[in-house]
Amino acid sequence: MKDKTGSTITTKQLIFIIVGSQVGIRFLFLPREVSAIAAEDTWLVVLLAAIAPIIIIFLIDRLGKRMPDMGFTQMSQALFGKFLGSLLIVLFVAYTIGFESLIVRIFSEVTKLYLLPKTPLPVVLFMYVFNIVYIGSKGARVIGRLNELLFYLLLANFLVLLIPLGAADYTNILPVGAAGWDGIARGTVMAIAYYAGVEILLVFYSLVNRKDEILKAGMIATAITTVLYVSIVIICTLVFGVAGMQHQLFPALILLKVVQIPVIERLEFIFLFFWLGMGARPAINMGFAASLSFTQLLKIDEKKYLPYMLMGVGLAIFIIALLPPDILIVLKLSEYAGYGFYVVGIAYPLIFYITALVRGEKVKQSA
Amino acid sequence: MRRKMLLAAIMTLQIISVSGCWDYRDINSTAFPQLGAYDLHEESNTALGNLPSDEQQVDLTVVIPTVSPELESKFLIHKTSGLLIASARGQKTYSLPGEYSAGVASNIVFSEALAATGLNKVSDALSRGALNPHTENYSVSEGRAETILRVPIKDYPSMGDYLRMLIRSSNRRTFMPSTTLHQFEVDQNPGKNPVMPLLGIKDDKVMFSGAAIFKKDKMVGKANLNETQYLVMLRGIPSTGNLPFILNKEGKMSDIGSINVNNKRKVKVERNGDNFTFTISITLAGHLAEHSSEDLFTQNEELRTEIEDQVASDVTEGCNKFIKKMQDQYKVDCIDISKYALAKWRNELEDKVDKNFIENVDIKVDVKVKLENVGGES
Repeated sequence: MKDKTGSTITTKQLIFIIVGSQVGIRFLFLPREVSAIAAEDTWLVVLLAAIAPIIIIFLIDRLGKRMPDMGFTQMSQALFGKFLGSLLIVLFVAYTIGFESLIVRIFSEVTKLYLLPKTPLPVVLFMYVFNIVYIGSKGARVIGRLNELLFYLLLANFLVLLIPLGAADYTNILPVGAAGWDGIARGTVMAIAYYAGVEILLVFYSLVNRKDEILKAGMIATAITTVLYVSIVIICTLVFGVAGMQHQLFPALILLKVVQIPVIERLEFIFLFFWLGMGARPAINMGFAASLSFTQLLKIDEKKYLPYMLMGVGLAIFIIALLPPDILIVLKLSEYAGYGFYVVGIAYPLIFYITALVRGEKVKQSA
Repeated sequence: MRRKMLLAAIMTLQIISVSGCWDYRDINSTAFPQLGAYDLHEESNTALGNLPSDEQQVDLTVVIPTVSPELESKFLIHKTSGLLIASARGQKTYSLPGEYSAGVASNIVFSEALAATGLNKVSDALSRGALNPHTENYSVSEGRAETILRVPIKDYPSMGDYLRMLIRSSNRRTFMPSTTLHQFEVDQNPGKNPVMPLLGIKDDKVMFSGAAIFKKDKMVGKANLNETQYLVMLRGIPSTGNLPFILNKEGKMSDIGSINVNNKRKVKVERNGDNFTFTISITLAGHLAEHSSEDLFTQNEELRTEIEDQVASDVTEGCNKFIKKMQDQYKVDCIDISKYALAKWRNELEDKVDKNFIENVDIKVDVKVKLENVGGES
């Protein structure tokens, strides 16, 4: 499969796409949600949870090496037959659209809450969806470049999050192991869902120009995401304490309200201003992945019809994002969407790989 | 070309509509309160609004600077009553023209009576408001908070400006805690309790009169100015302040003076069964500000040590008295040491650290004073 979307991506861009698909709006409430279970050991469980995306990347890489010229859709149909393979793709697309709808809704709610309180939610939502569709229509290479650019902004933005460390209390994070084996185990299972986005490699694998470097790129991406997650959890725990964090809907954002810098004064607005682009990255990447998979499933000309498919996906995201009545329900739904990652993100690569092993030569011939 | 123009038109529409249409606000017609006073409701003819009496539980009085230079008064004081703070804010729309932007007040003063009933219910409106910073300074007033706002002020544009300068970072100028909304919230975590500056009125001036001691969100005691400096040192709030000393030799006063010092604290906790021993090491480092005797430091090398020992002894005595008062009277850990026990034995202590824990622990204080220089005179 060569350059069917009019573009291929480099392994460097793949790193930024994977990081971009993982680190989005959920970064702002990860510390609260996971610390509710893992307490002072949240940093530890987030670190342990990184094993899951490492395994997923490894499985997808092994799978890709067995069928190097196949896209995700072709791979699915080759392994499971036309009907079941297509059904799996439809499920993948449905999961992606549902997941991204929630992400876009949360992101719009945060924007409305902090930046545009009087602007109607559908208008804010439309702004995001429009950008998702527009950027996606430019192809994988533009998406890769955008992810790279936004990654550097993320790093600059992340440095801002270090400022509140002046209000840190190291006793908040001690003792290590206080959550017990049970808390650490349950916390790890929950934290795994925050690495959702790594499954995008299923779609992007075929678009990468250097297949031999994909595993390394995936590992680097996971390392970057893990460092960002562990750092934000440590900072939030040090500044708020576990009990204090439970009172904040978006602790990583509130973090910037606790310090006052002369001249800048309101750090959180500066942070959000840059975060607008970063929070939209998962939706851009996943929206593109869903559209591409669907285009391939329908066997239509990708170059010609991908923008229209993106419009359809964008419309679906817009409509679904508007359905939940309030932010509390959206947050609850995003918890359930995390379970979807266990199926699509973890079970898909595992089942695909096992099937490829079992079917062995047959699949190779079909490839 | 047509597609590009269509895209440009859509994007222009996007940019213009989002920032301009719905969230446009005229700054000249917006009221920005500078200072807020929160009181328990009392009948008065100054409160505006029309809520039924059973829905009036707090009074919210604010200082709002006037924006027009033509006006004689530089600020106005506006008071409303409500069930809680946001409800009292809601009443402002009936008597305050323009928008009311609560997110910029830099100081909130709570009355002692309101603080005794618990502040979380009135702090919620500040904490919950997405546009509010969490750096607002909190303080408690002796008597009604509203009275503080109404003290005539001549040397500053308004009481808001005066209190902002007085309270913000007060610990950098003296041994006085400076508490923000954020600190008030995190100081209610297990094993912790907030403290706040206490304001009083003396000779028609608003000034610090000590510190308010809290058990979680309820005020349970007061420390006077002298006790407050020991509270600050024991609590480990990094501060800079002046400490006086009197040296006696053979029953006679030989020298008096004062030193300017910064404080630091280290806490060690040990355990023997259910007995906990905390050792608080306080280091005061700084310089000699003044002294009265003619002794020259270049000739009397012991003088510096004598001053250091005297201040260390005075501070140790003051700290021990404060610890006793804390354990016997306040019965809350206002010096923030329980967290060190939690850091070691959290699972075991988390449920009981806020119940009769601090009263039953042994607390030792070790004070070291280090005069790093004696100034330009020998």
